[in-house]
Amino acid sequence: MTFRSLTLTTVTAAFLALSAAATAQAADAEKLKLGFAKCAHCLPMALTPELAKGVEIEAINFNSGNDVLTALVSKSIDMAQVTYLHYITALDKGFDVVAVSGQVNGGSEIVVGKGITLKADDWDGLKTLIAERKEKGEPLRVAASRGNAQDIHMRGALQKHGINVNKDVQFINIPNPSDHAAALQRGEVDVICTVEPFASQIRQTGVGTHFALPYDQAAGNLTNLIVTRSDVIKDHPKAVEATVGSVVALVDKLKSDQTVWVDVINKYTGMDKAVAAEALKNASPDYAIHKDSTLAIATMMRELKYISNDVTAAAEKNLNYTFLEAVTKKPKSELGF
Amino acid sequence: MTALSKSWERAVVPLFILAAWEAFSRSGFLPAALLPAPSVVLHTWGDWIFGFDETSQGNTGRWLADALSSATRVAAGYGIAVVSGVLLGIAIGWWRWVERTVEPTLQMLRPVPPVSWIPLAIIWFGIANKPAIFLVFLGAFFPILMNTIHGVKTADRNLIRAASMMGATEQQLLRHVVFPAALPSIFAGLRIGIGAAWMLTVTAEMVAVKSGLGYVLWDSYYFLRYDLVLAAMASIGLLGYATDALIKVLMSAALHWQHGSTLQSREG
Repeated sequence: MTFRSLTLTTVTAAFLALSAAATAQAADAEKLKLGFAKCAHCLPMALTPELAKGVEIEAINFNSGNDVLTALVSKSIDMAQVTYLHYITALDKGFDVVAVSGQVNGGSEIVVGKGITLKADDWDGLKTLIAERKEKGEPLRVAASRGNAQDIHMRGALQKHGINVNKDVQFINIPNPSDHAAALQRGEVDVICTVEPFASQIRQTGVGTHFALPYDQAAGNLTNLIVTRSDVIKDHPKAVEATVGSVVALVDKLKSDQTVWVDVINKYTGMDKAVAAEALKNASPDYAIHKDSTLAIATMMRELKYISNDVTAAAEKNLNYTFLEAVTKKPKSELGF
Repeated sequence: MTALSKSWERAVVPLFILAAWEAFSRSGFLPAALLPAPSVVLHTWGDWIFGFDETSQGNTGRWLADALSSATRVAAGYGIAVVSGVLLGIAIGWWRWVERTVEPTLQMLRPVPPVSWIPLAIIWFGIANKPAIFLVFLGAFFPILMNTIHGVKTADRNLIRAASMMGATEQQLLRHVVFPAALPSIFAGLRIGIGAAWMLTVTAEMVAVKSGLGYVLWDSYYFLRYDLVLAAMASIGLLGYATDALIKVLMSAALHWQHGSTLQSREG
């Protein structure tokens, strides 16, 4: 046997051995189905399978958070990325959902149409404008997608500044955020609280201008949460922990390198990379689960009659920090509890 | 067969489905909120209509207003589809030059799903009623158009020749021979079209309207109110059934010459 053929044989054998070991490890790893929605903040969840260790994640993309949650409670998937509002709504309906990690917060922005000349954060100016319009009998038209995180952020921020969404302005529900730009462009609404990347798109195309980030209220800037069911935790605790581990790795990655995030938005939505990069300026990767703000959201949703029961006790009880603590080696007091 | 036994026959399958559904929902196999039992849906539906205990939250007692909103959008979109579909269908079926110039474009547009028109509908018509009416129109237009073209093209040539020989003008031919001959096909298109119009209501009411059965359906889904979702689905189904029955009555009156000579006339 020549030296060359010996080297070739050795390299081939080593490669086959490594492949076999990798295959065996993959075969040993438990499989979990993880659903996520199609928004700028949600899409990096597509990267979790490649960051997973000790679990084989099948990341499934859904059109909306409602579809993800429905798939979770009907046991079509094992874990889900949803919003804090979905978590509260699910508890209100008596569904078995357990929050195991945060993911990304932020992503809400209040923008005003071209005809509205208000400086950023000029809440007094907004209140004057609202009063003027009210006097004229032409209430200011404020839009959002009812029931999403931006709707809650906006209602909380307006309320904090003494504006009643139900009495002082005319609230217009535009269910699909991708329709927000067109409504603002046509002058059919004056103010919109929308989600990224649509907010960035609205600003960059000149359809509207920035007014405020609506985070100065009890719900803070909470957006996304990773949830599962108690039967999944009972049957696959290691896989759940490994999945939380991949979410934590994802959050760390997003904090240090937004290029992958821009690329994944570009890949899944076809959106311009410049818009995607702009959208990420209003995003805070965060694996913590913020208990106090979660309970504030539950209370706000009850007051708004979005839910019919007081679920604050269940909302607190179903926050499970065990996996985050195990993965991050931090106590829950440092993880939002 | 008596009327009573005929009604019983019609009720057997729905009653069986409802009983099986009630039993399955109550079995605990799935969370009750995920698949509400028919009795729960009926209760919520009752509150939505009569407003007795606010089970349907903000929608309590608002069913009639929602049904009227949807019906108005369906009537507007469907009405435009009927007028344009029938007129254009007759023109395409009768004049070759219209067929050559207009039909290829329409056939290209026909397979485009109405839901994909939503962005353009908003850009063209804005939010609220207009884009919703446009989407309903799109859903109803093509079945009516295609059936009208078919009806005109399959009109009996002997009748047309006979009328021509008797000195009928083109306008008289169209009005007194071709249109009546095409009516059975046109009515088939109208019946398919009304079904499509109701189907599109749910899609249409996703686009920034504040009322309607489709609006309630989507809004309830955001808050996981599957009982209201099912009540909205049932409402749309019932209204669709009622409007189809109305068209059947009109058809029966308009096609009176077919009585006794078709299979349909055999039906009671």
